[in-house]
Amino acid sequence: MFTFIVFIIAGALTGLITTYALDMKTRKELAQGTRGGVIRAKIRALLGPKKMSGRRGASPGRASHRLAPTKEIWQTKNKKKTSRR
Amino acid sequence: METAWYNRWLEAFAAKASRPWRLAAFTFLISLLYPGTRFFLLAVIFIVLVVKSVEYGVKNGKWWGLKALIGVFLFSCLVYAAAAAEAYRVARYRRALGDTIPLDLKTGIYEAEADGARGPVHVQVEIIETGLSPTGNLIHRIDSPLELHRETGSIGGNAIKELNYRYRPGTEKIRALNKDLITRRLDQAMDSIDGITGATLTSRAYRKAVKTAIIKAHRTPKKLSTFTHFVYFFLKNEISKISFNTLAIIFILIVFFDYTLQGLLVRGTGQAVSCMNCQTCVGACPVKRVELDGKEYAFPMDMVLAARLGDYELVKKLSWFCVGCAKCSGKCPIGISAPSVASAGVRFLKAREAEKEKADAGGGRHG
Amino acid sequence: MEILGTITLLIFIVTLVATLLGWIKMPVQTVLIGITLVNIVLALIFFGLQGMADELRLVPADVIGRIILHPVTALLGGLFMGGVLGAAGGFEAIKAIVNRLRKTPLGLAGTLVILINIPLITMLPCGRIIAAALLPLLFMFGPEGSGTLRKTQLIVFIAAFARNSFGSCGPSPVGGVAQIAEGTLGGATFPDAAAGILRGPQVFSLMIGTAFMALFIRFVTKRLYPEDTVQIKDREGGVEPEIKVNWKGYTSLIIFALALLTATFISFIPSLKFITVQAIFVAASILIIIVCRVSLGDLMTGIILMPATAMVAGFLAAGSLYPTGGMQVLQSIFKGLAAFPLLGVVGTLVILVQAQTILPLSCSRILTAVFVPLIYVFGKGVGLTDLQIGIVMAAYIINATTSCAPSPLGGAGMMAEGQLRAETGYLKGAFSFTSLAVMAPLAAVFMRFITLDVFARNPQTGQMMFTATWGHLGQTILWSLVIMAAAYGLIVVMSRLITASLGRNRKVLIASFGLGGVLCGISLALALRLGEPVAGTSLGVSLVQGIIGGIIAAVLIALMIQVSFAGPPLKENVQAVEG
Repeated sequence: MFTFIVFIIAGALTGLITTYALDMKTRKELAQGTRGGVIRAKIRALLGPKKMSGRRGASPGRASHRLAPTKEIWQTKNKKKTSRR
Repeated sequence: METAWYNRWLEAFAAKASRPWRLAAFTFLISLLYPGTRFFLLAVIFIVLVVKSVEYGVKNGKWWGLKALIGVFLFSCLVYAAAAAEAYRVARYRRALGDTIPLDLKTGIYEAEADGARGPVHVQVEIIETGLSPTGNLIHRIDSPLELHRETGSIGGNAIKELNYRYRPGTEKIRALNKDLITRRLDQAMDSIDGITGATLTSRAYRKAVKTAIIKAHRTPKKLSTFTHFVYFFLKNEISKISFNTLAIIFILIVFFDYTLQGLLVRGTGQAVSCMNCQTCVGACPVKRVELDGKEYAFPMDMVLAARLGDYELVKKLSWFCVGCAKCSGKCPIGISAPSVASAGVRFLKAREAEKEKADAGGGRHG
Repeated sequence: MEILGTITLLIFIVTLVATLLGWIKMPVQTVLIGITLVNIVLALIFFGLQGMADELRLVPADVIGRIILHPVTALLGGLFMGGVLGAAGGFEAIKAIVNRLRKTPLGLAGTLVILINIPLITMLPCGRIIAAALLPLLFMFGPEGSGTLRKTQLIVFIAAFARNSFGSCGPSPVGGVAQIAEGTLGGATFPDAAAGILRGPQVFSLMIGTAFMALFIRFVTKRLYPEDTVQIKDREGGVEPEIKVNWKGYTSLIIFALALLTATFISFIPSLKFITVQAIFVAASILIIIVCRVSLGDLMTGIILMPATAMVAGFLAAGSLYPTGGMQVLQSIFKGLAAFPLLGVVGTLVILVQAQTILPLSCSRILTAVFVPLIYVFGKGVGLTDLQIGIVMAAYIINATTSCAPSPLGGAGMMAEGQLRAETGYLKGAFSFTSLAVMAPLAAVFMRFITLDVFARNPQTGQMMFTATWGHLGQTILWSLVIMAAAYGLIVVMSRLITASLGRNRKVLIASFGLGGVLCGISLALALRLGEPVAGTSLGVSLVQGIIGGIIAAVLIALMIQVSFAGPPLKENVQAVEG
């Protein structure tokens, strides 16, 4: 899901930038370009492997968990199941 | 300029061995190398033939080709079934010594020896027809005549006497051994023969000798007939995951190599093989784009690529658009000269046509 | 052993650089095979004189054994698929769909944005396949076609498409460049690395890199080089390009999409794992051939051989460095650089990340075969964690993937230049700058905050864990925005400083590339600090090291651009032809 969000934002931004670089500076054209960028990003995110788009949700936790796995991991994992779905 | 002998030879090869023949040769070579692919290759050839015959049928209204192919298919199914049946039988016999398939024993008395503690232990196994087991023949008794071996004294001799007594006709032990022989592997069945405490070596030798005797009594396993060998050459590994992937890879390789080979065989067009499709030549060319027979070509890159594939007719047609300024060869990062490649291709085409005419004329004289 | 390693390494590097500068005028593949043969002969002589019989026997096997078959065959499958798609009219169908999009609320601008990004959506294993098919269409939007776009717009448009197209070979699941690195990364920490651990960062940075390519061309290139290097006839008005598509095109496109989806998702079904990508693609291609009645001749015209041969040649040349000890010498060189206090581990890593942008060959697969194992072993040697190696690899692979675009050796960028009728090397600076200052940092950031979380596993139990947080998401967006803003500022300032004087422009170019390198160094140094210092250095030190490494890499890139920019051999040829 996070990948999806980041992709959408990046898509919108790049759509905007590309349209601007293409010398299309009216408000309508910029909006169209942004929309195109978002659509493109959506397609791309859906095409990626399941894991890439991270659709199984994300748990609140710290990155340091990966380096030193403790009991907290399981707690956070359970928390995720109850809270985020 | 004098052509070198190898160039002449290569071009003769390129002219004679046309693409279908080369592909057939490749296919044959690969089917020899990779047994797993043979079934697929045969299937592909068959499907192609079916498609061709359907096309022919639709065009001419004659369906004999398709009928023949269906006949061939049915016939090969029959042949395969016959071969598979024989293979199944053979496999049953072969597995008999090491698997759960019942032993197929001949009647009679079989003798064998194995080394015991002080000398050979001699064993006789009598096999008679009982009508009880699936094969009909089973062990009647096991005997070890004392006068034939040297395991004398209190230990070995007594052990053998004891074993002889236990495996006399009609005992519980003999029945258990027969049952083991039917349901288990030979080695496991032999393990169930009693051991005598204190006479380990003698007992071991006794077991070994019984096993050898039983193997002697076994009917010799059959071998696959030449017919089945022949059928299995093509159809042994019908479907397996490895063969499918191998086939995919090999198919790609065949197509790639064959289509680059043509460019290499003809003198002057070989440099087209290293074309990187960068279209720099298109940028330099004053013509740039050619429309021919409803198709659009990036000029001169597509002319060079056509020479690589061996489509010399297209090269000839496209070369009419070339103005010969050679700006493309100056720009090309590898230095391919499109005009020279094209002219080499056209030259080869003309040579081939001339040879064909000559051959036709020669054939006409004979006919 | 070390003497031999040094000699073979020298031969390798010197020959490559000489080819790059145009002193050796041969296809890179030929040069590489030559290097391999020379190295093997040297090794045989050396081991023979020393009487090392075991090494002598192992040399040929060691060289051949370095060829990794899976990417090669997957690439062949992908190229085959591309050829079939082209022959069946699949690309025509894409054109028709895009044309129809213009009438939707997306309008022209939205359609152009999607069109620019089509290579990233289709993800074929070589950008040339789709570029060869679509570039003529893009050109028809310009003044010589329908006249929808002006000349300046057309230049920006085609350049952005080229950037997108020639990076799309990295994230491809069908023998993409990144597969080599994904295979290397796969192990205890990333058991699913082969499922595309590097795909996310690449796609992300490529999307943004495309936009920045457009910006760079818009602001810098057109000022740096007068417009008469691009000779497009300015003709107002024209005819709309008419696109005829039959059912075959759409059918082939649908089959292709299904095959792509199958290939992407099949690795998640354990019982079907044995079906490889190449098998799927060959099956789909054969299906298209049968359904759409494609002739083999048509198919083969669309196939581009170059990446496959380049890949094999690259593997061979890299393989010739292993038994002779060249790789060890290369490793010890980089270890020596890392021991140099001003550069340090971070600085060396920044240079390694930019290595392929410094030496752009016609297909990135050639050097990837050398550098991926090198980075892995180097990282392990200087004590990086697996996660840090993953970050470096993400930054490296996107630069490697995009390095075929600025190559003067028949690189893919030449396709766009040829299409634009521009001077060779016209787009080179823009390609290199986006790789250097935008794409590598963004890939590192994305890998650090998003992908590592998605792919994380508990190292003890092997269970999947998801460690992503909203904070990570925020940081990704924040850092990306910072990097993009900095790159934008650089581009704008650079464009203001450019004047008519050539010498001054060179200085401006080198300076701004240096600043781009600083940007790259800072971002990589920050991304690498994953809760623990890199090789025991403090944050300040690793930042300084990153900056220095970035500057060195950037200056090398800038010099390389200067030297091989429409370099001596091309000029001579033009003169020879004209004179």
